[in-house]
Amino acid sequence: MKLELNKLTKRFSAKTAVEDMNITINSGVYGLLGANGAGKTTLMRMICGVLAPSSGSITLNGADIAEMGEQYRDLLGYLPQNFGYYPDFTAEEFLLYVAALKGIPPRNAKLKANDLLQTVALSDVARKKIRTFSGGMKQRLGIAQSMLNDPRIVVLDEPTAGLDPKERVRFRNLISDLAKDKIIILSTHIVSDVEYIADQILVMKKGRLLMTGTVEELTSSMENCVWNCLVPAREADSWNDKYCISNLKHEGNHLELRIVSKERPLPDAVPVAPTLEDLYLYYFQDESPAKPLKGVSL
Amino acid sequence: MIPLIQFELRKMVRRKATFAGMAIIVIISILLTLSTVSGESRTDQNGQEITGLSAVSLAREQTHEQAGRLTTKKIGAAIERYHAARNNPQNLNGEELSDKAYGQTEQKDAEILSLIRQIYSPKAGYDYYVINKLTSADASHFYQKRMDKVQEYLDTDYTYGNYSVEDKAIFVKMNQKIAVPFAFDYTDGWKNVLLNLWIIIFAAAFIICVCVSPVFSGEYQSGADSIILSSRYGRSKVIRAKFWASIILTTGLFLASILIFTLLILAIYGYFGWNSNLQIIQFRAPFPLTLMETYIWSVLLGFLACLLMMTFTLVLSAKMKAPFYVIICSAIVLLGPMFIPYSKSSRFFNHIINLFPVKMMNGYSSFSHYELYHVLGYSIPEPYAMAGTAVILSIVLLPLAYKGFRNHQVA
Repeated sequence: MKLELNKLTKRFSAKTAVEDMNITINSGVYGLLGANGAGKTTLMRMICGVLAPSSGSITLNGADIAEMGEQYRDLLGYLPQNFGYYPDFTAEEFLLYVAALKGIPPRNAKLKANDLLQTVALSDVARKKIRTFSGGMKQRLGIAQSMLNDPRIVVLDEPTAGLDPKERVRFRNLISDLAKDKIIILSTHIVSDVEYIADQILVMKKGRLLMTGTVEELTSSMENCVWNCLVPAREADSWNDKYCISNLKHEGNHLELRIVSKERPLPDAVPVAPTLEDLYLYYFQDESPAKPLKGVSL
Repeated sequence: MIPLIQFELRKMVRRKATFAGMAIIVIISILLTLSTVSGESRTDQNGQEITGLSAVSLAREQTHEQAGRLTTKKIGAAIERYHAARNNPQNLNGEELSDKAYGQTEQKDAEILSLIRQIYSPKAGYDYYVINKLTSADASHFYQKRMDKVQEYLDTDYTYGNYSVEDKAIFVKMNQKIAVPFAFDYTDGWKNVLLNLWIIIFAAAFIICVCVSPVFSGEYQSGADSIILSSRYGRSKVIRAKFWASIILTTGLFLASILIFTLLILAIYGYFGWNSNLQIIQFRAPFPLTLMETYIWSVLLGFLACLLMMTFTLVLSAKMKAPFYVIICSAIVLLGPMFIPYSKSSRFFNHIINLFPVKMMNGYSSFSHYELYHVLGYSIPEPYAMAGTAVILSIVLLPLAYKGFRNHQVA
């Protein structure tokens, strides 16, 4: 299965939300990283066919998804950001409704809904109205609805928003179980989620694809760019102005800083293994465009 | 498809607005019934005025005694009784009947005498004392006099345009189809139903607009549109399911509203008069209908008006982002024409005004009027033109709502 984005662009009057995006997506988990307004949600909406591109196209195995229509949507599972629910529906009713939307026969729908409610740990509250649910419960219900039709393409916009650490681990395991022979695209602000789940990371900035690669590929490009050093606590502000600080820890009168920088910030600074979070902070520390580090594919 | 319709219906029915709407209909029906009944008055055998339920009961008892064909013999007898009562000096209080004599004699014929007054009054206006000049022999011309009245109405000069020769011929022909002698009975129940029906239909239409307004725009507002539009049937079956659910809700709300009001009124006034001629309560009406037939036609016309409002609301709902704005726009279209005055110079303008849904809701008025719509060489009486317009517009508007949602962009 091959999903191709060809010169994909979306403009909203004067603003370009997604610009000239070219990428081929094969089976696997793709993590979409980017700051607010980077164009992640717009891109996901276009992939799900709920927003038409201004130019360019999206094809699945060579066929335009706009022309595939129902056939494409039948393969799709989508969890939108802040998805709408019906407060007077029970969790089970909601899933049965979405199952009907997806064309799942009622008997199968019931079995599948119960199965998924169990998977997302909502079977105890299956008959309770959604209005009584916490944010995390609603999010889990949203995840369940996206899986109802055993989709081959799963698009999850901020799926871990509102989930507690235990639920996030459960979600990560769920995605890992589902990933085989599927395309899973997810966006999140929680870098560690993507780090754990994604086979490929897509970094977006200002509507453009900044870089792609595995976590290792992306972080290896930052070897010798992340440093640990001790500085006097009173100098905190000046260090903060001068460098991209990815972590800060008080040690008596000193601060232990984790600095993302191409140059060694202090002679006694120690290079440490970079993480995806370091990379994220480097590229999104401000609005000014940052040049990609050497060795990272664009 | 059926499960989708059930879910869409469930969404609509479970909204507070639907429950509140039904409660409003019940309250309006009760208030209308109470105000109608409290306005009833009659004079009893002792000349005392009685009101409310007692008056209704007495009127029903007295008028129902006269039930049957309104033959010229029956009309003549009523005229005779009228003169007999007034020729008895003991019944008089000055030149008028005393209250006691009125209660004992003339009141029993009040409905028939009222018809006689309307039909025999001169062109210039209504003459309450016209019966004083009539004898029982004049009754033989009753139905001819009615036709004369119709002709007189058709020949009148109107600032907004006169009836053409062809129009007059059509209306005369329609009147000739009215079976005579008229079927007569106590008709206050059906009369009150017909006179007030438009208020109930109007309230039902507004509530239908409120209930239907979130069908599409509610999905946009809540963010559920993304899930729906990205699903297999999100751009096809679910839209049809929403249409069916809206039609079922509209039908249910409409019928419930009509039934509640009709049953309330008839429970108090009785069902008598269902087979009486429409002309018993509106002597000049050109349609050969009984009151039951007029009621059924009015209900049908009201239903089509509600369907039209529903379709219009669905179009707005598919185009607008929030149900609130949909309700505002629907309310303007529903209420607006009530405040547009009829033209004194253009019958065509008045015809256009009468094609707005709110005007269709008053079936009794439409079936009492002499208005023809000339379309493609056909002359169509107003109620049928209204019904046709509602059907055609609904059929034209539904695809717009369909396309509106199908092409909606989640941005």
